[in-house]
Amino acid sequence: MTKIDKTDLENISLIKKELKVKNITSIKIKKGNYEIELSVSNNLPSFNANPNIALENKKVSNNLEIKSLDTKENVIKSPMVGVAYLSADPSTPPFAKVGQHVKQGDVLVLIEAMKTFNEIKATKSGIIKKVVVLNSQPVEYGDDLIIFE
Amino acid sequence: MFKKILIANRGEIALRVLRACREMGIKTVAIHSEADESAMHVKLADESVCVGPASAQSSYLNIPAIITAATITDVDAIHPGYGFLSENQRFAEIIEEHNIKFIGPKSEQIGMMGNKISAKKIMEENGVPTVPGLNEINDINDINDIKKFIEDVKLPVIIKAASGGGGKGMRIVNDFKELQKSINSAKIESKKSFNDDTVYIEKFLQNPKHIEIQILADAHGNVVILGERDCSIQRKHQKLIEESPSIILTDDEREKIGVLCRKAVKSIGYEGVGTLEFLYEDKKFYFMEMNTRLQVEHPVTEMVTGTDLVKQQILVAFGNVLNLTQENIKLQGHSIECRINAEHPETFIPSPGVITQYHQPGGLGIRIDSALYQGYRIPSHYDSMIAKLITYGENREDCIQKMIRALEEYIIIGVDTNIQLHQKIIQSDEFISGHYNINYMSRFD
Repeated sequence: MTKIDKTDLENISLIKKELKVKNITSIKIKKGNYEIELSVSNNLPSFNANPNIALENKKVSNNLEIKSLDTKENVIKSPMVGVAYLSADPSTPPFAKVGQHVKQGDVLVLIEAMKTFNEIKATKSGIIKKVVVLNSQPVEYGDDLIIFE
Repeated sequence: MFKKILIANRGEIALRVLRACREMGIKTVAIHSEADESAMHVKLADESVCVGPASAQSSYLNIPAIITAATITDVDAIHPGYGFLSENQRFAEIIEEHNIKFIGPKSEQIGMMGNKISAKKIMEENGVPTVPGLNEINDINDINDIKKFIEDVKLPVIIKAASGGGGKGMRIVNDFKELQKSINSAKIESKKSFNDDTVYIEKFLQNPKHIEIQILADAHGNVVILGERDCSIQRKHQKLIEESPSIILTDDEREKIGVLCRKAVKSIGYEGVGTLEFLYEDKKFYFMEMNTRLQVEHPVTEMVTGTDLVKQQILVAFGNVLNLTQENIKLQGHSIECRINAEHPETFIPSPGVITQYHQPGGLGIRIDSALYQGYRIPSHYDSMIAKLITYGENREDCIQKMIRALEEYIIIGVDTNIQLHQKIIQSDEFISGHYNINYMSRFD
């Protein structure tokens, strides 16, 4: 379960400001494909009357769509074909465990391809939700390796 | 002459050896892994044996399987190529025990040169200049010796593993305070990688060139030098471009270092081809190590000397007296080799996969050593080098022009290659001037 964060509140106030709405009756936030739904009481004359506002409305939703792509950044994918390893060698602990907090740039997985060991690094800081790949499993280009919360 | 040779390798070098055998009327046996069933070296060999699954550890490095393949196909000799088992002393020893000829030096010579400290000692005894260093660091009591050494040669110094290779177990020390820590971590790493924690300290040269000397020796004490190669264009200890001759060496320098190399190689009764690798800085040579096998970049030497090194290797392994003398070896013209790798030209991410379209350049002075063909799938289990593009010209300018033209013509579709990277390097002012050193490639990282 994700929480409402500052961005959500900022987005709501942005919508409020752009649409000049005041009487909000209910707010719905969906985090899956990021969605914000605002309901206002019907008797507001300015809402549908002004086409500019509708345009602005569209812009705002575009912004929100870009935000929703962010969730894709939670997945670290394999940039190459090869064999994935979860630790530097069999005797050392894995680079990344579920629930572990990692910093941007930390090594998460090693992929052996064409005799070279390639470090797959965290593209952002965060908590690891799932380690999709298994140790010494062959991976292809675009396969999911690690998912962040 | 040998009737049948087993080629214990894959890719372009297996093909290179196979071609020499065919021209000499010798039958060939290819070995391959499950991933290489449709490889060119398998298709062209007289016989082939599958020696294991895709991983190199269970196939091309699988000594019992390879020896069995050699026995059942009844070969007289085994050519190891480069990489894989080519410098494995135990492999050469087992082959000797089976009364099969290992095409290369005797196993004990591989051992001697495989240990960096003993190799350095042999060179020093013969007057070959080496990098100033302390040969063995056994315990912390040596710290006073180390201090004195560092006072003599000045920082930075480098700690290296005696059994090392590929950059493992190396530490550069810029500050005396880091010394003890670096020694310890180098020891741990080399114990892990090579099961030997012996390390040594050398002066660290900052901007040297990598220059290596090609030698060829028979079993009767005859040794010839086949010029040098400048291999300073390298990234992460992997060579990328090699050329022969080196334009910064004078005839006098070439002659002097050649005489010393001949003497050293003769002193251990070496037989076969071999390469003495040097760092070269401020007009001085410093011996690094000797490779007791054929090198990837041997074609540039073949082009400028007109000598087929693989055939020579087979002839001397059979026991023939060398048919060359130092007097009739003349370096003529200029040759450059670009190693074409299946990797992204900017990110260096390896790129195995299917070659959907393939066109290779041709014309006078162009040579391609490659096992590629249209429709071939490059496996992800082995090295990313898929072709060597070699050009030969009457002088260096001509050779560079040919290389620029050939790189433009070369078409490999389906995987990423470093052809564009080669185009950038070959046309850079520093490469054209010839005054580049081993740090050249750091600008691309």
